Amino acid sequence: MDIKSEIDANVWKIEVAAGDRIEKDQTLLILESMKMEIPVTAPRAGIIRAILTQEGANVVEDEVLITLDVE
Amino acid sequence: MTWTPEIEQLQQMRRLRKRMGGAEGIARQHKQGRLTVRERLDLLVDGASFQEVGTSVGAAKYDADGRLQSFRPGAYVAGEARVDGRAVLIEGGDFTIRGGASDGTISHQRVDMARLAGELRLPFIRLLDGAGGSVRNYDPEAKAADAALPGEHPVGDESPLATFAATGTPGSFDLPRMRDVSQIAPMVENHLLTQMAHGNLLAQVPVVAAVLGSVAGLPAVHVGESHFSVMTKNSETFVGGPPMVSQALGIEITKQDLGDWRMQAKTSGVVHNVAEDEADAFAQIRRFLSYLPANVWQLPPWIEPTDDPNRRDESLLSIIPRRRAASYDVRQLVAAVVDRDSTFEISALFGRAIVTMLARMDGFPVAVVANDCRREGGAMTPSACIKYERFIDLADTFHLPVVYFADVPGFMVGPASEAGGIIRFANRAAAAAREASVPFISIVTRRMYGVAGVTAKRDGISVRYAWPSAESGSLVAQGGVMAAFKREIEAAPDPKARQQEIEDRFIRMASILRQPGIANPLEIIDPRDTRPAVIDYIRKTHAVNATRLGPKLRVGMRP
Repeated sequence: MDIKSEIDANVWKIEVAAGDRIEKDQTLLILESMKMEIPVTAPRAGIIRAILTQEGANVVEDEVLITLDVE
Repeated sequence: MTWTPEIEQLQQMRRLRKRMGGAEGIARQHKQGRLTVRERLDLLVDGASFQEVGTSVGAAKYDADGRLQSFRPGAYVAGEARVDGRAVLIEGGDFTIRGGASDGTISHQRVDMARLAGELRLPFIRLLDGAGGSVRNYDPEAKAADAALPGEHPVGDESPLATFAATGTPGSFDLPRMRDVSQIAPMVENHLLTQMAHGNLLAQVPVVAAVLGSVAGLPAVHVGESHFSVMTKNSETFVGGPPMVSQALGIEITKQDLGDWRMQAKTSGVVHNVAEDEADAFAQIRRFLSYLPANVWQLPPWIEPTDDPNRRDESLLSIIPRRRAASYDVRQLVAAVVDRDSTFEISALFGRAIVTMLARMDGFPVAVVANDCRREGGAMTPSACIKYERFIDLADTFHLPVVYFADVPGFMVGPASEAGGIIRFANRAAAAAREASVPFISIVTRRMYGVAGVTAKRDGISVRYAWPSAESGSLVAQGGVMAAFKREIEAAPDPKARQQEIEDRFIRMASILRQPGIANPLEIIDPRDTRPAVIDYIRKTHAVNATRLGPKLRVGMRP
């Protein structure tokens, strides 16, 4: 499952790594836009397959940030 | 001599009408994942409540003795029905007949339906599927060729091509016994306002548009001429389709890129909501109408509440993070205040810096507006201003109190915002708030900066409360300090440190507890007391709101 950015933003902090098992609603990374931190949370529980961005990167709306293997 | 032969012919037409564009046209419609107009009616209205009018409109052929030989129904179905027990008028295009083109229909039929909605003061629902007029209408040769297209049904096989809930025509229903109507309190009507609203359906009754296919031309105009519009993901709408765009502009574009939900519900905001499928679209229409009165001469429908008016949600005490850069989920905040499960979000994909929802407070319909700090920092962008203006107008028109959760850092700055006309749309948003005469309750939850504070109305019947987390000023410190203290900061030995120092001072000063005069709340309240406080204000102002029924007077022009 692709986890996408819903906004244009900077990636401020990534809180998970590939291979991590994560719970539903867990914060995966935090975006920053207009001096506001916006958490991106897991829509489902699963295992992180890959992180496709890095801290400090600019991302655009609909860009895939993380791929998740849903359990 | 009776009129039985004519009545029999009328019955034949009614039966043939239900064959729509014929098996082929119906199959084509289904193959595209779309329903026929009659299946749509079945999904939308209560049981067999549809009373069709104009059933003899179409192209009929007769033999030498004047007997009906064949009938091609017009690509238009209209009538009255009940939705959740309430009367509405509905019209729908029939795409199975010549792509829903307006030929074969009688244009005054459409005008009549809109006129009836105004006269009967009933909500009007348009199920749009079709491209309006065709240039083929003006060419006798093309018209003759079209006459050979499927959809002409010979008399004989008159069985419907699908099963529909039984429908009737006016007078074919058994009426319940009339109860004593002398008890209905007459409302004194302001005839001047009624006269001014004449011909303007949007000033009188709820108008809903559903985009359920390829909708262009006049039907596309109807999409915008509504209080609420919804489109399915496999439909499109535009003033002119790809062939026209190609010819006029030399641009090759698919109909999806030109006018599907991404364009119309997200980029342009013309369409309010997106539906997963047609059943979802109809559920949304029913939900939307459930908050509104049948017309502006009535109050919104109150329902017996199931939620406690004194519920004080503990989550509100900590929902605003103390750290200024941390954000929160504004939909959770709203849900904690309004009646449980009572929200219906409108225009969620457009102007996302604000959230607009219909909801209930102690059973009474309200219009909820909230800044979303997770989108554009909650700043009022041009699209957020447009969304705000339309939504406040909707609330005012149908007498819904406005509940506004304000967390607004200001109007959006930057080239995109200026190019989008922020100065003008900000003015229009402010004008909508000023003109509104419904109860207007603002709760400043966090930031209230700059001129954008006008969105939290403070005249008419309005009240402004603030939470202890509220802060205010003319500009958010981060932006404002550098502008106002430029010389002092640059002259300092450590400019960065000096800037930080001044900013910290401003942030402390901005707290509502230190300067309640800035955001001017009537009272700073415990966030948990918000629900009872808002309900109390709605109850107190209800009598005033109820004296303002009828069309709303708007004088002059908006900026």
